[in-house]
Amino acid sequence: MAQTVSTLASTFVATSKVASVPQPKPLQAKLCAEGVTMIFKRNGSYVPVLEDVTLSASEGEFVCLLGPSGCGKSTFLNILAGFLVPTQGRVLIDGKAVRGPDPRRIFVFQERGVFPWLTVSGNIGFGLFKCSKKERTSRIAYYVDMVGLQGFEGAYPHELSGGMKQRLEVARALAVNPDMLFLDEPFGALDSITRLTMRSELLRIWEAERKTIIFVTHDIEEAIQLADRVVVMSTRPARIQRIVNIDIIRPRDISSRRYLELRDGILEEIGLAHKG
Amino acid sequence: MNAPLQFDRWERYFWPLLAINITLALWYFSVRWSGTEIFPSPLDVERGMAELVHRGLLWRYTLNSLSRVAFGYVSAVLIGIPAGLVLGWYPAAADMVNPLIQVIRPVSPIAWIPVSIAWFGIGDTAATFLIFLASFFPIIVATMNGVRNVPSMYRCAGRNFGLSPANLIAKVVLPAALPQIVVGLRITLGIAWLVVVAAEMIAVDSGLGYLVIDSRNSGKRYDLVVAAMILIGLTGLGLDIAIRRIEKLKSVRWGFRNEH
Amino acid sequence: MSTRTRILLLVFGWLGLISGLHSYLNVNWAFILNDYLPLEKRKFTVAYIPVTCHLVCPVTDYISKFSKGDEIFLPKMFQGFPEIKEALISNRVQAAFVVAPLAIALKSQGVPIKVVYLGHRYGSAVVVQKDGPIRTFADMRGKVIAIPSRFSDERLILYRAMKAYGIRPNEIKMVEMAPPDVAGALATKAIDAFSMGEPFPSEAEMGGFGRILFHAREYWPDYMSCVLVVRQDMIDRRPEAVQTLVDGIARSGLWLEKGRSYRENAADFVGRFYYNQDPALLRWALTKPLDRVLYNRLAPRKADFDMVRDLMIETGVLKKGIEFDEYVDLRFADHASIKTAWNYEPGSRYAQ
Repeated sequence: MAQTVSTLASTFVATSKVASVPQPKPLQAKLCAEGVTMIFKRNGSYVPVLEDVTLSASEGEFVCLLGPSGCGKSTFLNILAGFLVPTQGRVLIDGKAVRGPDPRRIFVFQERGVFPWLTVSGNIGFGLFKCSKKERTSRIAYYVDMVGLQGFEGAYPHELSGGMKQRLEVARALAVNPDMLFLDEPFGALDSITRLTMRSELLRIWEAERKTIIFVTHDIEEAIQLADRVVVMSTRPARIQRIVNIDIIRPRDISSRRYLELRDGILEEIGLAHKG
Repeated sequence: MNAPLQFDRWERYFWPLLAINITLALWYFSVRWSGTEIFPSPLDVERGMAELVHRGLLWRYTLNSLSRVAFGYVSAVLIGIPAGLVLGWYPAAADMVNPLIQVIRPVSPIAWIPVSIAWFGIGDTAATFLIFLASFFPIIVATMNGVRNVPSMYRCAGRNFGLSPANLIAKVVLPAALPQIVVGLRITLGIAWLVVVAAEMIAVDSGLGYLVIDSRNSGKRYDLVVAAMILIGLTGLGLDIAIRRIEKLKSVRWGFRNEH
Repeated sequence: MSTRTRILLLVFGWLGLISGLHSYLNVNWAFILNDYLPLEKRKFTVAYIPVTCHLVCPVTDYISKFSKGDEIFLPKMFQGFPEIKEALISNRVQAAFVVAPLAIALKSQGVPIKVVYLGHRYGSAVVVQKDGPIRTFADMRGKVIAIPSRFSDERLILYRAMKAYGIRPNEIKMVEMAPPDVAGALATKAIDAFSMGEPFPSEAEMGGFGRILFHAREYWPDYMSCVLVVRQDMIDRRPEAVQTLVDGIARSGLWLEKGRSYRENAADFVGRFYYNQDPALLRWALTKPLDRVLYNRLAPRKADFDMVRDLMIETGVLKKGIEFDEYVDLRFADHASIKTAWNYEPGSRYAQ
């Protein structure tokens, strides 16, 4: 119910201009970041990375953080997940402040964070230590199926390809049934064909399980193809430049006029972002 | 198409054997040519070995030395790996203890002999203690480094899934550090075996190290000295091959790049 | 200057620095250059280890420095008998002080050496824990006693004592230990007793943890332990040099017998310049009592050596008999017997 309300609340723009959309109200939001600022101290000097970032996401939403490389979006994602403490500001999830990482919000890493000493089954079952043996086996089998790694249950990560490793990591994240997923440029190291496959896989999984996803990328096409909302961030120190609502119904036709409109609009934004 | 494969397998044994034979020939001729009074020729050594077998000493001494090394090495590993895990996990503790380790580490076990006698008397315990001492520092340093080199990503992932600190060390840090720890185990075993000659200087009455020292003391039996050296070397080779097997395990092999 | 040049300079600079310092501070140039002199002029080297039994070696070297004429020989200190043995066999040293059973064993194994003189008489003792339970040698049954080597008179003396008390060989456990380790081992009760030459019994007494059970001479009158051996080729080619050596040793022995003040002086300069031992320790060993170690009557006697040989065969360290003349050359001792002591006063710069 809350989801329908928030979807209706976001403005359905029929014009060709893209516009910033108002964010879901804090009370209804799944995740709420308020005034997050991050300053790193490196070699004696202060490096501001994030400046007063405020963002909300509602339950089941797919949000993309888009920006040039090194602008600080990964840092922001780490703060949301609880790995870093912001210099200023706070993050609320389900109304409670984030104090550290939690199994209800799983982070999928940039550089293939699967555990190389465990098999595919071992990795997927890693977070399932609280379950009974029967339940573990069935859940592992289910997620192996879901990400399409059947037949590789006993294989080790170094025997898998890059795309398979990424799928394994997603399966591992999903197996513990988290509310939220944070993905940090997960497809960056893959070739472009695998990337396309992985995008549709991710969408398929998301549509099956409807987790709240925060996805970091520097690829505009990827952002528009996947997300409900795209958050365009500026270069360092990163601020939220614009939030764009992608109002195309999935499956998205990348040659449709609306798609190209949105894409050009964001390109313009990014153009601004680079100069800024 | 079969020919290249068989060539390879045959070659694996052929070249090392050829090298050994050439070395033996060089040894024999250099002893003859230099007219040395002390260093035995390969034939003398062979006779010496036959004598050892005849007197039933070969296996007995080898087993004695192996058992001392086993006790010293295993106790060093059992204490050193957990200690290394803790020190690697808490950098503050490591900073505190590190200077002490680096000062004690270079001191040769032979220098520890008087201390060893004072603490453990003379005999097997003192010898095992020296082997323990020589093995302890390499393994603790290797474990510390292994833990420090675990990418923070793994630790973050472990915390993310809700692991307690104890579980984190056991289920993430230890397996991730295992390749480096296993390398440390191999190096340490080499060192422990190396030290056995020094360790058996403390009034023990059996073992390969004892054989080296004793043959030297009893006059001109340098053929036995070299025979004992060769036995020590061969046993060391055997130990090394055994430990390399551990490196081949799948849960450790991921840490080593070259696959073939 | 590029990094590579800098590194090379550093490395070679460091090597040069430590080589220079080392050769200035540590290297014994007399010893090294000696090898390059022509054969006739070459001084020969005498090996010894820092025990009181070998005192005559450094004493001779020290005093002869003050006399007219050249040094007789080059003394070289070793840390143990195995190294001396190897050096002797491969002709890196031409003469050495070794224990008598070792000399006999080496000769019977074919090493071409001859015994020419003794090092001392007396000078070994059996020491037990000061407050321990051992009061007489009979109490040694079932105990652990350390000896320097199976080829030592310190071991044979134990057998003589065991015979006197009717103790069988397997009732006492003998372990071979390096002499410097026995004091500590006795102090921490790792061993029950040790049988060693001076200064180790003195060390245990001075340290307050050892008590002398008996001196070697109690079971072996005229006890002798260390002898001077010379390589056969040296005797054949340069007998006059060997004679000079034995003369010097004999004179040193007589000098040490002149009185307490001479012994104390010897303790001082040997301890400081040769042995790196505390002079107080050597003083104790040399003067408490004055006949703890004797340096006269150093000519080899057949009876002594035959007894050693027989004991060696009996206790299993010698396989077959060997005759006195085969390994002893008495010519040098005979000539030396007419010598008188050095005329050297403690602290003076003149000797004769």
